[in-house]
Amino acid sequence: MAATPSLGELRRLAEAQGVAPTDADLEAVRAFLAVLLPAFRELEGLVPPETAPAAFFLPGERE
Amino acid sequence: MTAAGLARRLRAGELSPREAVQGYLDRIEALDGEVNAYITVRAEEALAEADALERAPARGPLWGVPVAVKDVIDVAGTPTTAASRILADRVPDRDAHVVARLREAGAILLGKLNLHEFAYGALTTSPHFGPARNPWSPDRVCGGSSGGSGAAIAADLAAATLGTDTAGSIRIPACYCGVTGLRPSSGRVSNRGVVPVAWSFDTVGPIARTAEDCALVLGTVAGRDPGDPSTVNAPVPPYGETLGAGARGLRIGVVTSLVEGADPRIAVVVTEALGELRSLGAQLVPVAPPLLERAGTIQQAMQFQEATAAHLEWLRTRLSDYGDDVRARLLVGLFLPSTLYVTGQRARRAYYEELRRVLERVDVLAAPTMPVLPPRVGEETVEVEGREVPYRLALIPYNSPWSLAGLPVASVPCGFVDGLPVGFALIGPRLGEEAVLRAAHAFQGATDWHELRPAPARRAAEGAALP
Repeated sequence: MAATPSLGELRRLAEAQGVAPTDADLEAVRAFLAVLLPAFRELEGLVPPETAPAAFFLPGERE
Repeated sequence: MTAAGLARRLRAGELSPREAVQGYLDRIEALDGEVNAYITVRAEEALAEADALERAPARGPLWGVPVAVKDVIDVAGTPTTAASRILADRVPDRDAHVVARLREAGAILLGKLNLHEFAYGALTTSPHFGPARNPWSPDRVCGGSSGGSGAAIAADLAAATLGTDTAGSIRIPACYCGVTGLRPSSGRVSNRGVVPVAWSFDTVGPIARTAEDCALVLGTVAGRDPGDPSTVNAPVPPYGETLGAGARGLRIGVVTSLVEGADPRIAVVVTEALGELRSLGAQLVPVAPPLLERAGTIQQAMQFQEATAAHLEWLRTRLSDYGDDVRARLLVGLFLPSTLYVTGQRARRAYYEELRRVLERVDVLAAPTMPVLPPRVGEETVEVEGREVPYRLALIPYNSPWSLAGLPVASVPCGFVDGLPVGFALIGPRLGEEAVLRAAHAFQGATDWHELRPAPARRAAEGAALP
């Protein structure tokens, strides 16, 4: 994951998904991402390579 | 009065269901203007249901007991607003599975309880329905997102309630309101008919006065629901039968880092509570689960995107109708890559395996439910030893470690700091609600923190039919 995206980049990504946030909305998102993205980056090195995902449930087969 | 105690009085004929309902309606009328625990009160419907119940031949374990549910849980014919503008006019035509189970057991639905908008936050300060206020101190929040559920129990505005918990939303308000809450294991209780936050973590559970009440409600709502494939195919134990086994012989793993990381005044109260359990015969063992400090990040790697996916259509069409904080949080998920979600799922498995190994050595874990006191209404920071700490960042390390692993957690009231309730968390192995409830019940058998009530509830109880 790259550094915190700019307002323009966020706007393009949002509009590509049909969402039209205001500048104030995107500033609030940037504040979140500035904290979250470095922590998320650290996760990538945390998991042993052989670890499979915790799977979503299958009907009746979880327990 | 506890739900279990009220159920016994009803069965004994000391009180009729109509009298029980009317008693709570009177209290709601007297107190809820101050507390704002309810979004919708079903006064006429509840009285009619009470009358119908008296004519019915079958008497279940909650026969005539007035209960209320968080306003993300569907009750047929009553709006499910989720404390939002977006769902303000939505009236479901079917009960949620858990509501149907409550009705089968004889419970009467008093109404729908306030929450943080869409259950996506821990303050219960909806801009659309107003804040639920802490009955112990009305200038403080009651936590969230099931804040109305916690406040209703503290102020005696229902005999028992249901909340939901994605990352602390049952435990936090139970703690801040001085009542008992239980987040069951993921999959133990059906989510059908419940507005989702994040499917991987959402769990319905009781907030009530005591562990016994939580056992009573959980035993009613737990179990496989063919209509919700996330529910587990596992028998539901008779929780009431093992409740009284006592604390003797229990091995309790004390999560030392979480005790030491809490406001020192809270750490003292929780340490004393654990000492009480030791005096009852439990063995306290310090534990240090690996990766604990990463649990919040791992949960968020999935939760943000699931919540955004659940709301995507409304983000496109009703964006300005969200409150500011919830709108920002929901937008975040638009900008996180799909690879992060898979990384989160892999990290979740690695984390769970580590925690499972710790839980093989003890019966339950224990930690403070919350490391800080509740913030004042309108504020999002709390003061700890002269420092301003962001409330949201303070709560994550104490709640995500258990919801990420899908484990059962009870919050048990255990004292006060500055006149505000403090609670400790008991965490069990997967599907191990029995051990959690047993330890909580043993503690409540030896202490009276769960019996204390805030001033408004004491005032309303004076001269009322329901003590």
